[in-house]
Amino acid sequence: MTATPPQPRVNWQAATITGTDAENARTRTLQLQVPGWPGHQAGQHVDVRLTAENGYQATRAYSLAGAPGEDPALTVVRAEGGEVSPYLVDVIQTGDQVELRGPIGGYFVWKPGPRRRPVLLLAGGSGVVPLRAMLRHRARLGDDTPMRLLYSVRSPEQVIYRRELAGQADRVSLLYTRTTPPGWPRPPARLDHTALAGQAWPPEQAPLAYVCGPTTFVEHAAGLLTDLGYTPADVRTERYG
Amino acid sequence: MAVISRGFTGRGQTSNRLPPGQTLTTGFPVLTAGPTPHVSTADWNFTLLTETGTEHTWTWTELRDLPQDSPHTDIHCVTGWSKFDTDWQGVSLDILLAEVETNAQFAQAYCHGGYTTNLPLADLRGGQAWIAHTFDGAPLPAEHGGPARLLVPHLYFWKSAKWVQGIRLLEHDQPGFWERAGYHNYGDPWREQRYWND
Amino acid sequence: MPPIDGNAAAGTLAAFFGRDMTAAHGLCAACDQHAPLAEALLYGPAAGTALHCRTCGNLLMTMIEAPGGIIGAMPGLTRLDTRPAGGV
Repeated sequence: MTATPPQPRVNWQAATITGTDAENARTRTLQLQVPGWPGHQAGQHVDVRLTAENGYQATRAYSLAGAPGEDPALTVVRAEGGEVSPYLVDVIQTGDQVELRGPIGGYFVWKPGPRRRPVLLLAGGSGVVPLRAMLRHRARLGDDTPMRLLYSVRSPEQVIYRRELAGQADRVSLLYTRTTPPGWPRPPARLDHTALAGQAWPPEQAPLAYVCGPTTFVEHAAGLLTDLGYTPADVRTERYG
Repeated sequence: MAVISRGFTGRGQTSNRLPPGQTLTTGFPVLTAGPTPHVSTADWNFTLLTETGTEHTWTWTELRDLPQDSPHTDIHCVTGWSKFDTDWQGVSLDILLAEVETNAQFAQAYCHGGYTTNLPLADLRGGQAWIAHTFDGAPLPAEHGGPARLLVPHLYFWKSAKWVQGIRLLEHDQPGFWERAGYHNYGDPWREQRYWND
Repeated sequence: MPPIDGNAAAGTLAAFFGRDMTAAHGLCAACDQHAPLAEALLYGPAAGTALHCRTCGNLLMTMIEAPGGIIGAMPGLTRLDTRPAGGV
């Protein structure tokens, strides 16, 4: 594909909340309606700007949760003591407005390519959001690119998109780091070489990897991939703190 | 016409003690453009470097043995928040500057981690500036610039350099990190001097 | 807070350059390493956006979002290349 990607929309646009879905006790997906939404690529995000009555503004970046072709949606996890996420998870309602800038980002994006290089998605916590957009994109297209998601999460209560991911058990593996569901075959453990080697496409297949999560997770996982023989330039990373 | 997000307050409220364009916060946001250095008080010292190359350095113990001030002040961040009634302890720059001979007109604070900020030397005199080591009765945490930061509360708070290591006294003004990047060279919140050409 | 990365600056970069810049490769003026801006170190929140070289920590670029526009500086970038790299 040599087509130039669409130019990002760099002006702030009003967006209206059209629906909300609780994903778990601290996570909510917001459906948005944006006039003239140009469509987005899997993995892109938007900047969200909130303006208070007194003019105070706060801006944060959030990954787009849906696949290209779907309306924009954001999945937000409440950061305790935060300024923006508690508002988006607990306060904002259908009909309320925010401002958006985007879709933006051209590095941490995936679309099917002519070589069908296998794709390994590595998520830490809410880093699953842009990777879910990639999985959905592939599924909606009926594309046959080999793709696997390894999702590292502290406990069953913190899993996002539980039902959707459970429906793709052949390509999604959960790795619990603190507590597991009853009867889970693997004790809670951090992602390690063995767990990764059991899931990762071999380097000989020229795989691409997308790693998203907290900085410590991304550094750790990207290091393990390099140890497995992945080419650093084929390991794309997104850290969110 | 901005879009108002109903019910979003940003923890804030308004007041006539606020400079233009500011909103009040009760928190103490942590802002930093680089890694947070962790400097032990055993290794800490503070240097005044004059325009003739003379250095005067204080160790942590020497600084703590000087007369201490307890400024009570409002602070104003260029990103739009202000915080009222903050309590600090530290040493007035008047006391430190009394130890050096200088004809400099300008000053540039330099810090662990490489941050710099500049201001007229006059703004460090007259009971307007401190090397602060205590906030709210407790040692200043590293995230807020501890062991010690410059405190110049009459200017936007980026001038109150965290992890301060020393101050160069200069004949010619030398813009610091954010001043070079495009913030205002002086940064008076009451004149809303945010950007370089405000 | 640990540093995040240049992906989080995508919006400010796009507003400044009018196109995506996270995939653009920059050459660090201090260490001569080149890397996508998405891989740059980003500490924050801060009074502006400051991107640092992931290899040597050198300050690559700053951006300040002001009403009506963006004030940018690139004290540590000797080259920016927006040609696409690698295929899928």
